[in-house]
Amino acid sequence: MNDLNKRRRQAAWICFEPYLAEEQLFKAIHILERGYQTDSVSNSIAYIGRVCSEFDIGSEIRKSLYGQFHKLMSEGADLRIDSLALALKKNQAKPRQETAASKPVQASPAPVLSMVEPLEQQDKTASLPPHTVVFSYFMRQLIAYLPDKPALFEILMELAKNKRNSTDHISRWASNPDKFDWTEGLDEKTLASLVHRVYTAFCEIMGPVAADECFHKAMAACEQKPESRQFSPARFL
Amino acid sequence: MNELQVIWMAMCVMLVFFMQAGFALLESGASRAKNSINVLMKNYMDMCLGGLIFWSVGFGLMFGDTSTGWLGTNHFFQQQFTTAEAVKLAYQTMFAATAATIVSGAVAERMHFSTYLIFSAFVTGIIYPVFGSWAWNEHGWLRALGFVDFAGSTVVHSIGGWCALAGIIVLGPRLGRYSRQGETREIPGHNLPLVALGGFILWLGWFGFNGGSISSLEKNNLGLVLLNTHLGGSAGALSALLFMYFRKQPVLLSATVNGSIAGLVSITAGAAYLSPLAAVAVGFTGGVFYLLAVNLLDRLQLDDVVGAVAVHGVGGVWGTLAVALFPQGAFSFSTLLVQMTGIVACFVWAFPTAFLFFKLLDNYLGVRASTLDEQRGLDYTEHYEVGYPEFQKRLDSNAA
Repeated sequence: MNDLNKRRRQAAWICFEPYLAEEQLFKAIHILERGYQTDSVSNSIAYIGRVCSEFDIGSEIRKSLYGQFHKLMSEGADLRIDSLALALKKNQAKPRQETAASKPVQASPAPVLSMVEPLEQQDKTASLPPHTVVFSYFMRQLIAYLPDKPALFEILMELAKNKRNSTDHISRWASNPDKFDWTEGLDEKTLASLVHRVYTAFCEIMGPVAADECFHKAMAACEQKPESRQFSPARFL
Repeated sequence: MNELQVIWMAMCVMLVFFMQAGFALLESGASRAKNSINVLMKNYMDMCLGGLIFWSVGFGLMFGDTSTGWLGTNHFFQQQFTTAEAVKLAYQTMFAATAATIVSGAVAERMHFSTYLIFSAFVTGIIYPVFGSWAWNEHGWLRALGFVDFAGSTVVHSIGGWCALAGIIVLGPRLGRYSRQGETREIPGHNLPLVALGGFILWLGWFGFNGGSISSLEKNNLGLVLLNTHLGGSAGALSALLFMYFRKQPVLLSATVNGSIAGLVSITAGAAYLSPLAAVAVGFTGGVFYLLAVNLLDRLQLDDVVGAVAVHGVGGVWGTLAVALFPQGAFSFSTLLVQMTGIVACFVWAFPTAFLFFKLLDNYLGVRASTLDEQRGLDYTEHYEVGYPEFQKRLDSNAA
């Protein structure tokens, strides 16, 4: 039984390690120890669900974690992590930290970017047409959800080449993802086409369900912007 | 056909018609909300169009007089018939519509409505009745060999399944369905209660689908047919559930419902001939084969939204083979060979024909909706309606 409990801790650690910070991992193990150390499929599913809800891990990742956890529990191979020992060692070595910065979780809501822009940026956006301002803000919101930004630009370049479109804008954007100077002078139709390509790339990177979720959240955040009263981000979609 | 049989068959016409509602609900529930109307329209209209096409052309090809055993040559645009003949035509029209509507679920969320209707007309006008004439026409060459398909495991369901397979190959997967690393991403349906309700309605309709197929030879087996139908469906659902449970996978409603449909498809070929125990075995195995086939299709990156190929194509094959594997008398290799001949003939006819027609449609009209339409949802882009206007944001380019 103790071996099974240990293996369960090890499996949980391995499964959640890519998505949680160290403090959160320990908390996840603590949750396991407190109420989920029984050997049944429903227990495993309930545990994964509990931790995912606790740390806001998306549904797509949650589903893959069910399978991964089960696989680790049923494999015979030795798992080299002993999370309980790690926790004990940590407690002996230094005092417990109250809070820790959380690791970004794939496809979960990223913090909404500040609505307050630096003064010089505000001056600049004031002179730009509303569709350009909304586009820039929309893209900033979306990119914040991506764990792997280079993958986005790689796919965008590929899509542009496939459609025999110019790759200039994508190249300029890729060189500095947070700057949108290159959007000056572009009309609504061009920007809408870009938004669609970004959507396609998001689908390739994270799947259509997560992509839809990111887009809807980004749009909701965008609609708080004053410029969106003149130009709704929905017009890009 | 005596009066009682005519009345029973007329009731079965209504039951099989109602299966269209079952397909519509199951497929719509298994799709995303932004495509729900498009799926329903495809189901609704392939029933309407299929009915007209089959009455005008298909019935004659399938049941008309034939000297060769390959195609019927009369009874087109049938105007005069006895009551029994009219009921038979109506009944067979419902079968034809069932074969066509199987395709709509597989190709959901990315196929143009107009080209789907054209393809559906081709299925009910050519693909289904031609094979049907081989297997069910009095002088059909397959029937002459001794091919047995009581209510259409191969004639209806496999035909639909192979046409669906051709469709998903030509169309390709939905945007983002498979990652570049080959990982399959789930795209859950928007309304699983609808999926369950659709399953229930299909099951109800199946009593008419199988029960109405009794002829004067099998009329004494009506009770056995209805019992076997129910046992097959029940066993299929149970096997799907146990398969998922023992593989320590989440036990999904959608897969369980599909398991029962696979069981129903499997029992369809032999419902009048199998013992109840054999019916349980056939339905049970059908459920397992369905889940294995779904895994295979995903590994091949063939995106079938509702599992139509696995349920109807593979289930149909198994059900037809089962007629020979669970005989009432002694096992016969020649019977098995005949059944296999029918299965192969069905695939060889349906799949390449459907594939070529899809390719033709794609070249001249384009079958695949654009990625922009896929993003916006086919409800809006094809029909200018949304299924849930109070809950869905209209992604309307004219919105200020």
